[in-house]
Order: sequence, then structure tokens, then C-alpha cells
Amino acid sequence: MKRYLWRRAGGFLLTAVLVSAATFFVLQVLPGDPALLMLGTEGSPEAYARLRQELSLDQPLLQRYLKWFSAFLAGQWGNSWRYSLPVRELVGQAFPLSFVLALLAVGSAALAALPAGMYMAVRSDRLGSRLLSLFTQVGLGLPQFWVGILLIQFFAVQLRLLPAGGYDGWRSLILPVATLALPRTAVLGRFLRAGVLEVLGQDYVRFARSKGLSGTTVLFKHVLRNAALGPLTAAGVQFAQLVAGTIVVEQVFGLPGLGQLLLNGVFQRDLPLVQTAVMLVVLVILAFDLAFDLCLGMLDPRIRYE
Amino acid sequence: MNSSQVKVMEAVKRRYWGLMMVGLLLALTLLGLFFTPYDPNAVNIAARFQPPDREHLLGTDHFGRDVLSRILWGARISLAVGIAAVCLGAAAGVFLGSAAGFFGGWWDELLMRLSTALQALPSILLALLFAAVWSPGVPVVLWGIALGNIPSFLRVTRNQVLSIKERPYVEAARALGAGDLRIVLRHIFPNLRDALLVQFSVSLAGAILAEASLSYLGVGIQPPDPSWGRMLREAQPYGSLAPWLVLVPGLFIAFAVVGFNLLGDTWILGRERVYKGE
Amino acid sequence: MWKRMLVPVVAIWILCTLGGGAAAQVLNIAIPQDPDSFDPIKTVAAATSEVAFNIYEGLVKATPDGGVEPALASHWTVDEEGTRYTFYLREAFFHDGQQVTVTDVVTSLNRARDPELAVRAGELDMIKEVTGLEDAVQIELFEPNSAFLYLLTEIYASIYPAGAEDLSRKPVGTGPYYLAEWRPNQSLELRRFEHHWSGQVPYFAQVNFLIISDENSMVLNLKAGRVQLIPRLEVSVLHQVANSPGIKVQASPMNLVQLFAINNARPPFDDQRVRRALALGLNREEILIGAAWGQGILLDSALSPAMAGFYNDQLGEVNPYDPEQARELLRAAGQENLRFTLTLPANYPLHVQTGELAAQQWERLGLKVDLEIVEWGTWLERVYTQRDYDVSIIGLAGRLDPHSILVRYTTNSSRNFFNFSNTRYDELIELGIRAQGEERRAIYLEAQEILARELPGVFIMDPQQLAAMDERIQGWRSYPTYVVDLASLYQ
Repeated sequence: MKRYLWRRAGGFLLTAVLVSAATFFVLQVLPGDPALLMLGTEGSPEAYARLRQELSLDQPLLQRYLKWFSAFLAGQWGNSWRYSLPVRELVGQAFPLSFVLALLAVGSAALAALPAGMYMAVRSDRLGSRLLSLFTQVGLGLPQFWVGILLIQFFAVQLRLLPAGGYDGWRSLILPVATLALPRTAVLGRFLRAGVLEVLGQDYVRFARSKGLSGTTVLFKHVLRNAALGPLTAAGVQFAQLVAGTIVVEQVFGLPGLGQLLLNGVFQRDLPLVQTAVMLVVLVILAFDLAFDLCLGMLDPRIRYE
Repeated sequence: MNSSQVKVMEAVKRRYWGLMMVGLLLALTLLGLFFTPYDPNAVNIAARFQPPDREHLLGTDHFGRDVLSRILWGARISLAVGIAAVCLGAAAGVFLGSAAGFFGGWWDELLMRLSTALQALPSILLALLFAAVWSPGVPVVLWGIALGNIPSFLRVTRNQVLSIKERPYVEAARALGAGDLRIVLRHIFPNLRDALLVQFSVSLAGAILAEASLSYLGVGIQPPDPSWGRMLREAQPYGSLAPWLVLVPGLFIAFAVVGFNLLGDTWILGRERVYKGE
Repeated sequence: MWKRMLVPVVAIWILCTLGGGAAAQVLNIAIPQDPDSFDPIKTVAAATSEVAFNIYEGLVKATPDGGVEPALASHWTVDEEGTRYTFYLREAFFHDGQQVTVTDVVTSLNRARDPELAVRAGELDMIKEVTGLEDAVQIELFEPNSAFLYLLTEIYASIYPAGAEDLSRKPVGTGPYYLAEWRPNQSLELRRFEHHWSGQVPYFAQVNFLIISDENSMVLNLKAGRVQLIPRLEVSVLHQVANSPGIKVQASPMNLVQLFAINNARPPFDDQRVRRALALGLNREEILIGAAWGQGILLDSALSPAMAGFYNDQLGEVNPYDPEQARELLRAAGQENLRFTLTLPANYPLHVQTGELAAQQWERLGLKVDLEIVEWGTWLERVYTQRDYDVSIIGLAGRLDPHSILVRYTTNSSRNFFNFSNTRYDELIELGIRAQGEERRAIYLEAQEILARELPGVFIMDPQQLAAMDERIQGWRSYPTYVVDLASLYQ
């Protein structure tokens, strides 16, 4: 297990470095000149040349990357070009919101998927179960921003129950979390259902039943434990999707999170900001991946020796 | 009724749904190639925001353009971009995946590492980065989705190759002196096919969603050409004035995605039958 | 890392539970973008001057009707040659409590015209010297300049304490409001300054500028009462508030010239007949209704009618909508099958929609138009700086003095991204800066006519500025420049 852990941790670091280098170099060949962008339509050539030097845009790429990467590791994320503020401050304000949003979405999706998935598996011939199954199928197909727009139209514009956009207390998070959780619930529910169905067919479950154990005991003690592996793997794979969804949903609801900061940064060519935001996003995705791999490794020894 | 019977029953039903939905979608797209009720880009300011009626079955938009014509025209763009991107991603993924699975060792290690790195950058994030490098448009969406799809194809291929490689008949073939290439072509690829078809269907559903999201964010398809996501973006300010402008493209996107997902399920069934010898 | 993140997460939850319950006399305003920097000599974003107008003041300031009125200078004199201005300072205080001194004024103005420091130093290059007297500041110009006084109303000519540091984040001025807190990408909190030199105290004790980038959320927030004022409403969402109870919309010309910029140096657009064909092929009525919902004034000149006194209103018949003649001109120039690219800035929905409609209209002439929508950064680099484009659309912001607007079309101007060149026009602009009164007016009328006939681009419209607000808000004043005047608002 120890060796497995070391290998995974090493892989994690290597991947992080790979991604950082890739993003940095991709962003360096942008056609839009950040110095020019900062000056707008009214700048003079002298101011432009000076600003380029100030931003050290005239240094070689590798040097800039190494400088940036060592600074990143040291927690010095530099100043945003667009806001002339420390990136750490900007990200520090935006990150918690996105993080809470994503966490709440996963949490509520898991909470909703558990009963839905079990019900669909155990009572697969009931009408309710069929409807649920249809719902999960459709839930997977709906574009998130569209669901968001419709929810705003209904709950904010027609009923005026919830805020329409922007961040104004916890009530602002209800609709975005619902929007983000919907496809997650559908995926987890379907995996759980498939997992439970698979396990129900196994001999040891039939044996446990024939021993006279009650249906519920069997379901929770034997079935769920083994059936959870599928949905857990699915949840792990889902984190990248979740982050992508967060970017879109933040845009729909005008939430001042990391996604919006990143999107603005990309459009404004605010390199220090984009770099840091992307790195954080990627680190979070990788960290979750790592955590899930380790969990799975503990649950299922076969994976360790793969 | 035991669980596998339940599965088979459901899947048989779903197969028809998936096939029907995708068939209908393709038929509409084909129709759009040759015929639309109106010129999809023809502006008629006098006739803007017409609700659906006999003349305009799905109404008109903020420039008085016929929504049905734009949906049909846009189907081509949404589907073509999705299919092209997934094909690119699949080709690269299958190639690298078979290399990883077949050669194993450090090749496998390296490719899986790259694949993990790529997996941490979702299609949308990739496309956003590209959109900043080039200007927004079809190529950005295409490459973003294509690259984003490589890891899943790589993994599916590698895992299949690994599991097939160990099967008795492959080992038998090897023992009989068959070369690497022959083993790959005769034994591994045919077995891969089913798994890849499932992945392809599911990826296509994801690609249609990703294209719509990117066009909604403004980095995807550019006007005047309509894609379904682009139509939604343009319609958003008029949601309360002309609800059909928001409802129609969203329903079409959902229809396409559900259709391809169901089709994927059909192939899962096919694969299970092969394995179980049913 | 995680420990550090935990604190803000917890803080958010506490804020959530405490939130709501706004105090009296608080005004919430929705704006789409953050300011860039509050250092007056560093900022270039219009979004900054909109907010900073209330924080900083210059020796003089702009009035809603486009004039100039005393601010930190109580009055001023000009010598007979028109090159020596003397500004007499009044007793005024900065937000930090210090009194405004002659040294502060001299330092601020010298910083603003220092090309080593100031981004727009070039605009003040007519100044020869700034000298401090006992209670006045004397500014000497190289030669008489009619635009000079108006330039002193610009944000870069603001006055701040000589020793101020970190102005970009912590502005110190003399205006009726000071910046209390800035949460980038979220909000700016302004509080009223109790010791303004005018002795008047604004009605609203606190004003929050909320950053809401999406126009739909802006409107929904206004309807929900979370925001009371949207100074610049996108016209595409006007219908959402038009008949809403409790909300009123005040429209006024923006003093913005929306135009098709044509690259005059690139064939076949170097041929005036081709440029004219583009102009005659445009149905601008349709654009006005289709893209701007009728909220705008069609323009035939490089100046907006808001520049009363200088606007040439006789140019209406120079370029009428006449597709027949347009086709003939194209035939004569041998360009019936011309294919070109129309480059549009993605962040301006009005320009994008205008471009979509125009492309359709030009295609009816038999031309082929490729739309290319680019991000603002790409637009600035490719179109504005490298001048690498065929045709584009942009809105040129209004200034108080016509010279600042018209000088951009002279051959050697660094802002002449049209590559337009006309000898007579260059002469007129040279003359205009020195002329006065009726003579100056005549010069600018002729200059406008040259632009309308020679077509560096095709002028489209001056879109209306739509200020949507809670109907209880009173005292909204619209300016020909990009500002929101908070001190005049009450309820």
C-alpha cells in the first residue's frame, strides 16, 4: 500500500508540472498583447514599450516560466495586470464561492442519487421507478446553461422567490446548486442502480437472503457496500466535468467565482490571473482524483496491484 | 425476474428509442441540407418576434429570421462539429491507447500520465484557452473537444487491449507464432469495436453539449451561422418576450443528447450479450 | 493551503447568515465591469472614470450640457495672447483631511504630463510649464489652444495629495464621495465625504457599485430591488423593463459615434467609389430598429448632435440609402463581386448585431461579407493598432471639445486607424485649434463635410444612453462624457 501511495503522489506532482507547463506555453503565444490591452484605445507607443518591460514580456519564455513556477510554489502569484491587485487576493475572494458551490452540488447530488438509485434498482418494475429512470436519462441530456436560464425565468422572474443573479447571500446559491447537481444526480443515480442490480444478482446476496436476513439488512450491509464502487469511480471522473459546469453556471447566474474570474482573465489576456486560476482548478481536480484513487485502492485491493 | 433479465428487457426497449431518436435527428439534418422553409439567415425586421403559427412553425427571432429554418440549418453545424471532434479524439485516443496497452511498460506509464494530465483539463477549459490563442470559432471548439476526448478513448482502448491480450485465444495465437501486427488486426480490433462504439456514442452526446455550452459562452460558433447553442445565447435577453426562442433550441439539444446516450446503452447491451454468450 | 481557504469559506457562511437588511440612504448601482486602476494617470478604462468622477476633481469640471465650471479653482484668468492661464484655488480638503495646496496641484499636473509616468501624457503636450504662485497656479501653453480647458476636466488632470501612494487601489481626492472598499469582480463601496468644499452633502450616505457582467442579471436585480440604478442599460433588454411598474428609463444621447471603420489604405477600399457604395448600400433605418430598437439618432457626421454648436446638420443627403447607385458605383470600380471581412468586437452586442444586419444588406448588393467576431484584446491589437482589417465597427467615445474627436482623422494621428489621409482636412484641423468663436465653428463644419464625402468610414448612429432606475430615484443627470454623477441623486 505504501508503495502504491508513493507512486500515486509522484504521479500527481508530475501531472501538475506537465499541466502547468502546457498552460503557460499555450498562453504565451497569444496574439493579443497584454500591454496593449491594458492601455486601451488611448495609449502612446512610449507607454507601451515601458509597460512591456515592466511586465517582463521581453524576456525569453523559459526564463519567464521558471521564474513564474518557482514563484507559484512559493505562494507569490504576482499582480493581476487587469486589476493591478495581487492575484492571491482576487483568487482568495473568488475561490471559496466556487469551491462551496461545487461541494454543495456534489453533496446534494449524492444525497439525491442514493435513494433514487436504490429505488430504481429494487423496484425496477414500478411506474415511479420508470419515471425516475426517464428523468435521469433526460437529466443527462439537458444543457446546464439552459436549465439555469429556465430556472431563473420560473423561480426568479415569474415567482420572484429567489435572486436572479449575482451573489447576495446563501439564497443566491440555491438555483446554481440545483442546476449543477441535476446531471450529477442523474449520473450517480444510474451508476448506483446499475451497481445494485449487478450485486443483487450475485450468489452471496441470494445466499444471505436464503439465510433469512431481512431485505433491508441485506440491502444496506451487503449490497450497498459493494455497489458503491461504481458510483464512486464515476464521481471521481466527474470532477473535471463538475468544474467545467461551474464555469458555465457561474456565467449564467453572474456569480463572482473562480470561473468568472478565469473567463474574464482569458478574454482580457490577464496572464498571471489565468495561470493561477487554471493551476488551482487543475490542482483541485488532481487532488480529488488522488483522494479517490487512494480510497478505491483501500476498498478494492485488486486496483493496488494493477 | 432476475436482474440481468430486467436489464435486457429495458435495453431492448431503449434500443428502439435510441435508434429512433438518432434516426429522426439525422433525417432532419439531411433535410436541412437540401431544404429549409426560408433562408435561415434572411433578415426581415418587420416580422420579428412572431410567435409560432402556420407561416413560421417555430416562430421568428429578433431579426425576423425563421426559427425552424435556423434549427434545421444549425443541426448540421452542431452535429458536424460534434462528430468531427469526436472522430479526431477517437482516432488519436485509439492509436495511443493500443500502443499503451500493447507495448506496456514505460510507454504505458508515459501515455497514461499524459492522459491524466489532459483529463484534468476539461474540453471547455481547453477550448477557452484556445479561444484566447486563436479567435473564437469552429476550430477552437473542434480542437478543444477533440483533445478533451482523447483520454477516455485512450483508456477504453488500453483496458480492452490489456484484457483481450490475456485471453486464451490470443495467447494461443501467439503461441502459434502470429506476429504483433496480426494479433492486433485479427484479434484485438474486432473485440475493441463494441467498447468503442459505446464510447463514441456517449462522447458524441457530450460533444454536442460542450459545443452548445461554448457557443453560449461566446467562444463557439460565430454569427450569422446558427448552432443551437449560439441560438440560445442570442435568445437569452428575449426569454420573457419570446419564450419559444429559448425553449426550442434547448429541446433540440436535449433530444440529440438523450438520443445518443440511449444509443450508447444499446451497444452496452450488445457487448454484454457477446460476453455472456446469449 | 486548505487552512487558508477554510477561513474565507467560514466567513462566507457567516456573511450569508448576517446578510440582508440594508440601512437607509444606500444606493446600489449595477455596472458591467471593474475599474482598471484608480491612479488618474494610469487608468484608460471608461468604467473607471464613471466611478472616479465622484472621487476625484480637477481644477475645473464638466457640466451636463458640455460646458466647463469651476471646481478646485474658484475662478481663472487668461492673458491676451491666450497662452497663460492663472487658476485661483479655493479652500478645499482631501478625503484624508489635508488641505489642498498649490504644491498638490503642481505635482498632480506635472505627473499627468510626464511621458515617463502617464499613459495619456501626450494629450497635455501643449503645456509648456506649470508654476505655483501664492494662492494660484499658473499654466503656460506653447500656443493658444481652444481645447485646453476641456482637457482639464479629464480624469488624468485630477488633483490628489502630492505625497499620495498606491493611488491605484486607494484613491484620495476631493470629490463628494470616497472609496471605502473595493472587492474586485464583486463591488465597490463609496461613502459620502462630509467636508466637500461646496459645503453640500449628497443625499445618499453610501453607494455600492455592483459588478454584474450579464445584462439579463442586471435587469432581474433591478426588478428584484437589489439594485436601484443601471446607468447604461443594454438596449436588447430594454423591453424587459419598459413597462415594469416602479421602474423608469431615462434616455439621452450618449455622445458616442458608432461607425463602420474602413481601411482606406487597403485596396479596393482606397477607391472612394467603393467606400461610397458601402455607404449607399446601407439601410441605417433598419439597423436603428433591428439592432438598437429605435433607441438612437442616425448620424451623418463624425460628431454627435450632442456637440451642439459644432455639429453639421446639413449632411443628411450626402449618403442616402440607394442600392441602385451603390451597384453602379461598384460596377464602375470593377468590384461587383467584392468579398471582404467585417471584423466585430465581441464584447459589444450592439456592434455585433449592427454588423450582422449590415452584412445582409451588403450581400443584397451582390457582395460577399465574412463576419469575424474577435475579443476586445484582439480587436485592439489587430484593428486598432496594426490596422490589419477590411471593415470594422466601433463606437468612438465623445469628448467635450470637437478637436479631440476630429484630430483622429488627420494623416499623422496615431489614433487614425482608418489610414485616412486628406490634405485639406489636415490643414483645417491645424487651423481649428487656434481659431475662436464663429471662425472655429466654420472650420469644423467644413471638416465634417469632408469626412462625409471622402468617407474614412460610414457613420451610423449616436445610440441612446438608457439609464434604468427605481422610479423613486430623482435627480439623474446625463453627461456627454462617460460618468455617473452621484451627488445629484436623491430619493
